[in-house]
Amino acid sequence: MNGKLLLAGIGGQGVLFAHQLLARCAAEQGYDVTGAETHGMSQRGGAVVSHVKIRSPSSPQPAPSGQLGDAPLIRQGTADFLIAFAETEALRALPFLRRGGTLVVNTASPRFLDDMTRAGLDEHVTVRALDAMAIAERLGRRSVANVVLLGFASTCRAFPLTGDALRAALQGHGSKSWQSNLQAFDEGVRAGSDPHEPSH
Amino acid sequence: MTQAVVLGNEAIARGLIEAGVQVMTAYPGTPSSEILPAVLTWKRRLQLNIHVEWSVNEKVALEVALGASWAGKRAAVAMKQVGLNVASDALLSAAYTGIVGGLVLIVCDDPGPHSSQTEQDTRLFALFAKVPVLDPATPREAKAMAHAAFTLSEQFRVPVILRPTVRVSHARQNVTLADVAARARPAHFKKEPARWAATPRHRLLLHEELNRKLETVEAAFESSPFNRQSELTARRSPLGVIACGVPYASARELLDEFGVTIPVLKIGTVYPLPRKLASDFVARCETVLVLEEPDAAVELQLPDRRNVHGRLDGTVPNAGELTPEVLHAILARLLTKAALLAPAAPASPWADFAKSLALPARPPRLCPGCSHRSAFYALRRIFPSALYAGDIGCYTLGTNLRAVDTCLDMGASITIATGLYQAYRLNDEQQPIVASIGDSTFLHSGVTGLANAVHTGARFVLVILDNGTTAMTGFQPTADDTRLADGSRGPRVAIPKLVRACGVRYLRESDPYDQGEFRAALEEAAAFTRDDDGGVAVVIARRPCVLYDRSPLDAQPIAVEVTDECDGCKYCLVAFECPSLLLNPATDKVEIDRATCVDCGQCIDGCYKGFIIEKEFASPVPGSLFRTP
Ligand code: SF4
Ligand code: SF4
Repeated sequence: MNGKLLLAGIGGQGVLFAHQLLARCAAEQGYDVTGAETHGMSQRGGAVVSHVKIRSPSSPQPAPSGQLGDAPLIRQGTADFLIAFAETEALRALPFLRRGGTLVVNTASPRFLDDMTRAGLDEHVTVRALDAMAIAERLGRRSVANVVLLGFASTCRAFPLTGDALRAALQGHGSKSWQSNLQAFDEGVRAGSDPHEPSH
Repeated sequence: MTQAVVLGNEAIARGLIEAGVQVMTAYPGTPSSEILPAVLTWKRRLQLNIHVEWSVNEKVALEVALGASWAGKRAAVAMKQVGLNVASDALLSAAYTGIVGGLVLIVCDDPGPHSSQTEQDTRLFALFAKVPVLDPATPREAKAMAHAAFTLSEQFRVPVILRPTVRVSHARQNVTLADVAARARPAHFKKEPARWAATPRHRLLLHEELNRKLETVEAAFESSPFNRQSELTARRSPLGVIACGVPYASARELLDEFGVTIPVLKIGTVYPLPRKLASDFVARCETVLVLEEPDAAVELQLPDRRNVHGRLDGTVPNAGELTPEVLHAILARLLTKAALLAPAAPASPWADFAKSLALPARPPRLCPGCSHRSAFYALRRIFPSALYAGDIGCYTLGTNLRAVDTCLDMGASITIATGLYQAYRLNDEQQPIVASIGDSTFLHSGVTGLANAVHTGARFVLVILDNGTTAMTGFQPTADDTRLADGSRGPRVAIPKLVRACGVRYLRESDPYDQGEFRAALEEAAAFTRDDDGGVAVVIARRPCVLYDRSPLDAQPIAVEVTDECDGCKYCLVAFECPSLLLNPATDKVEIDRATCVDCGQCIDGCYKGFIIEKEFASPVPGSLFRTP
């Protein structure tokens, strides 16, 4: 399984953590992984994008998005998944998504999907929206919204990493709060699998 | 041997460790800051005997490493590209003297630029300094090069520069970690005055020696594994590509995506350029495209550029990062021209849609609760018509509060303020001038400027924003701290004592969170600059960075609320500019964003009408987004 994932958010939302988790998980699964992070000035509340490219070393066949090499950046129009931690950043990073790709977005606005439909984008991309912040708030830790969204993303069709693999990576991450992270992740997975959950 | 997913900078650190580095120095600067901490991590984990220090500036860092090299140790020094400007005096001279233990400089470039004041090309600096330079394309290659750089340095007795760009330094990739053998070399400085203390007559001999060394380095580079040719055919190819670094990795991917096979020469050893290898390649192609960042170091060294296109003839833009989008456009155009590719549709179907949305720009801002904001807000109130000379750090973002009018380089707040003062003095004008500089930057390059300002009779207010750490680059300790890089203790070099020692006669330390007292200190300072007997007045604004040390805030949280009387005048949004103050468009009143507010209470002063007040029952918000990551 090959894949190009673009993460977009705002400095402070845990985009780097999400990137590191995905990259570590991919490596644990035996994939080659490469990608680019945003550090420094732009981290102070600015728009942050992270590029994650996962490639299976044994299968040199190209992904739907093209051949994957060692280049850290994903070219616009070629990302398989865009995981956006804020609505504005989803729209800002939209040019990266390829035709047929999937947008996973954290949004509190039930109108977001309608807006996408009106713009005609849902004909070309799959949009999956979740109010991950509300779930994180329910869990009492707003800072885990990023992990909730990752759990949700892992339920998407053709997502290159399985929920189980990501859970294992979370457990092995060595962070003190892995238990509450795991809980957040599972809530995200539940929201993704449960048709009754208000995932808009 | 194990596998690990690491940042490019961590891969470089691991390469240094595996090569047996014994002295590691650095001054922090994006995108280079993670190298030294990673060396520290492995030093601890593997219990290695390595001296690691955050030096006061890049010149100091390079000289400390060089001294250790002269005593036979393998030494490395890391900095960002503009840091090499500061260290250049040492570098150019060290190229002549040569080294004993391997000396590797890791200098990170920032095409874009993303976090720097210039897009300068360190590879051109290497050419100017006559020092070999390596240009990695990926973290994996950067790690291999870090190791090889030591071998090279010792083989030819020259300093060697490893030059990653931000997209290598901040790339994350799985790399193989090799075993580390503990290496102990004796410290032994062999006296040789004609080299280590050479007079101009000997300097000429050393220059000639350096030229001879570079010839042998170039000969060695002709067969370096860091240079690779692919898809060479017997026929002359209509188009070939010479590429370095990240543009090589991106171009490689694009060519695969296009499904075209053309000759590609990857150059990893940029200076001295293996000219025979490059010339042979150029001769076998009808046209050659050179892709490199951020400037034209390889292209400039090509002996025959008649069929060569690149930065110099405008085929490749001569500023900005070579993103995959930019490279896609260039390659598609040239391949189509050479009839190797059919013209294709633009890649991103929704680029125009996204543009049409006019999304709110997200310029970087000072964090909620940042003590710099409080200091700048007070400055704006006391000095409404001042000229504000700023400096480099988080507090450059004082531009958002219109309390920073200039930003040049490290330490220039003080010297630019001096120049501004002298200009207005010539016209007998009393123009209020305020300089602001952070603690780490003051120690880096501010002290000399301050001594000069005092000595030459300049008059302005200098605010030293002392938040106890080098916040912008990830909270490295400064010399005004008893903590050293590795957590051990050392004597503190106190900023107030340095200020006094520069001859400053007005000095006050004040907490900018105490707005009343802080403004009083500024007023007094202003008066001192106007006194008959006045001069430079220094106010040290002392308050820890909220991201670095939250304990004072947690001990005394002040939760605030906006009263119903708020009339939506937006004064606080513009003048106080805390990201946690939001205008609710439905009610046209300002609200506190509970997700990000850190309960510092500073915005109470930010509404002059008194509509932001302390909440009666303070309740800290759990898990705020802006807590220490
Ligand atoms: S990191 Fe610290 S110094 Fe920098 S903007 Fe945030 S609070 Fe201010
Ligand atoms: S209390 Fe006021 S100034 Fe402090 S973080 Fe909250 S909104 Fe910003």
